[in-house]
Amino acid sequence: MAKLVLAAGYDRSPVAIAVCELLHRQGATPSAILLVSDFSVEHIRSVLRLRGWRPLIRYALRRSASLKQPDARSPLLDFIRRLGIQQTSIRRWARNARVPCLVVPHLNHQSAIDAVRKLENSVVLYTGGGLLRQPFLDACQGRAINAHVGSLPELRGMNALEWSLLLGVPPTITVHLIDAGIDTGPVLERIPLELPDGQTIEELREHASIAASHALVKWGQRALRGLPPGEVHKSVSRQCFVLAPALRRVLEKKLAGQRGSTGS
Amino acid sequence: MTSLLTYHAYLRAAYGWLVRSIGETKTGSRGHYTPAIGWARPYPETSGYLVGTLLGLGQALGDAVPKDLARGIVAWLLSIQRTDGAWSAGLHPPTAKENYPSIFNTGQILKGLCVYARTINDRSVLTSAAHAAEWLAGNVDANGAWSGHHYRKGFSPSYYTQVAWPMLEFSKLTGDERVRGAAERVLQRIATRRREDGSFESWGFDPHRPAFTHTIAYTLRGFLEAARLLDRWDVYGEPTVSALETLRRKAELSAGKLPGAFGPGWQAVSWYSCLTGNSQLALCLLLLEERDRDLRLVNAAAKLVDYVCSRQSLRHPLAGVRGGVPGSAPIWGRYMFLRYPNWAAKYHCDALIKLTRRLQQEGLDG
Repeated sequence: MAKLVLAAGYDRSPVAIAVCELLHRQGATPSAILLVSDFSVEHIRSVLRLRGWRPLIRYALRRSASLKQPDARSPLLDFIRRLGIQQTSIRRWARNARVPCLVVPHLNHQSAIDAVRKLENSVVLYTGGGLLRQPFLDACQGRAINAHVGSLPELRGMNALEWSLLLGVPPTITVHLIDAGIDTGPVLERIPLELPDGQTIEELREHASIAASHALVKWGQRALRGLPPGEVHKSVSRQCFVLAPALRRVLEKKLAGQRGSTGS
Repeated sequence: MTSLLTYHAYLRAAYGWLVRSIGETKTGSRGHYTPAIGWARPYPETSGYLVGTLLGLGQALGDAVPKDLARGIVAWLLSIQRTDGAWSAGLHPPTAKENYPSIFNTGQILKGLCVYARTINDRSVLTSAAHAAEWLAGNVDANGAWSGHHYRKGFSPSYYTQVAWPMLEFSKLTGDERVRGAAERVLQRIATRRREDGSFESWGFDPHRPAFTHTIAYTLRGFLEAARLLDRWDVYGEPTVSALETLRRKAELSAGKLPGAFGPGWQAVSWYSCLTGNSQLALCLLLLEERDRDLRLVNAAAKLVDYVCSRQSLRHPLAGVRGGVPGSAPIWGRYMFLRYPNWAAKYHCDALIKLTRRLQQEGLDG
């Protein structure tokens, strides 16, 4: 029987906590958690490179924001509350559930690779933590699963949900095996994403995160019995990146128009 | 930048800088401004291709003054044209070292004359343009090479696609098949320099140093325009796509702060950005997007332009800095060290006009 390993990008990741808790309740508790340290040099460097200083400060503040501060318009927080999850830290969750939690500088660090290899027959459920390189993928024999919030192969990369909405592509969760490319691994399932009207970009992202969490839980359980090979992409599409401010504004306007027409 | 108003503020500021670069002299635009030194002499080459930008600014801003400035520049350029039909290298008046007919400068001025003739419907400049085009075409050998009159002696760079382009523009205006044939030979010769990774050999100023994004974008733009004018996307457009995709990706990963130069194998020189290259590359991506309707190309273009805007001061007390675009960011970068080139402001205006038009089509307002 396969062993589940959850990869988390940061300690307060609500998606990582939700996936762990839901699997636990269904008797499929992860055997281990790999947690990327919030303060590793590599992690900070990559955030600086991608986002610069000011966004880094905002990003750090967001990531350290406690789930104890209720926000009425956070679908993700509502979801966590409805599940009755008290934990706001994956490390604390792991301690309570007696699941080993290894903090690593990054997922491609030797300690992470060794941990996955040691578990034998492991399947990694990826909830964040940066790109996975070949040595890590070899350690889990290519069985790392991602729930990408975008239709693949059309919308690889970042902000895929926003690009779906901007380009008029039906929002989709694509569950796929991770390979060395950017969202190019074999597709296991495409799940149409039903999104409520009249929401902001941030709210829609949270709705998508909830759907992605459910997809990962479903495939985590499925993985315990074995994984299909998946559907290989025949072509590689143009990669998506974070929306430029002007295009983000275009999307906000489009969504605000929908809010106006629904009266919300 | 999230509104048209914001983009227009940067556009007006760059236009204001260009107006000051022309000044009261009724000659061309002065080549660059250096804080603590001042303005350089007028630069015929860049004044030439500034003509098209001024005409575009007139339309974008709903202002008649840019057209008058363009008219003045054209008159000046015609007055300094050499008897052989070419224009000299360098600034004006040329030094002894610069006093030779320049292929590249002549090509850029020809570009401006063609746009002027077409936009203003003034065919009187075509006589001067014909003289220049004849000189260019007459010096192209059967293999598509110019044997002399280069910026760097003995080096015929790939960015000469920027000379083939105006030759094709001229041919389209006049039906001159000889000029068209010469331009095609130039393009075909440069096309053979394409490497497997999509880059082109000799697309920099110096064959032994990394190429600035300025000349990289020159090379790609020349091909894109040739593809349009000859309706041969397969021959001249398609070969640029790989390089454009590589540069698009690098622009996105650097959040618009594109490395200023690239060596063989796309080895980046990233401690500075060549800002005019940013603007030029944004234009190339937007041109590609006209054909390959994909907002992901506009996304990268917007980030490149936004970065240039972030380096443009709107309120500096020095008139030669206010609204201008430095050659490099930081300003002590290798491209146009410590200077504000007029072509940086020109390409910034071109990119802002094209980008805002495209964003307006998508519903950006404000």
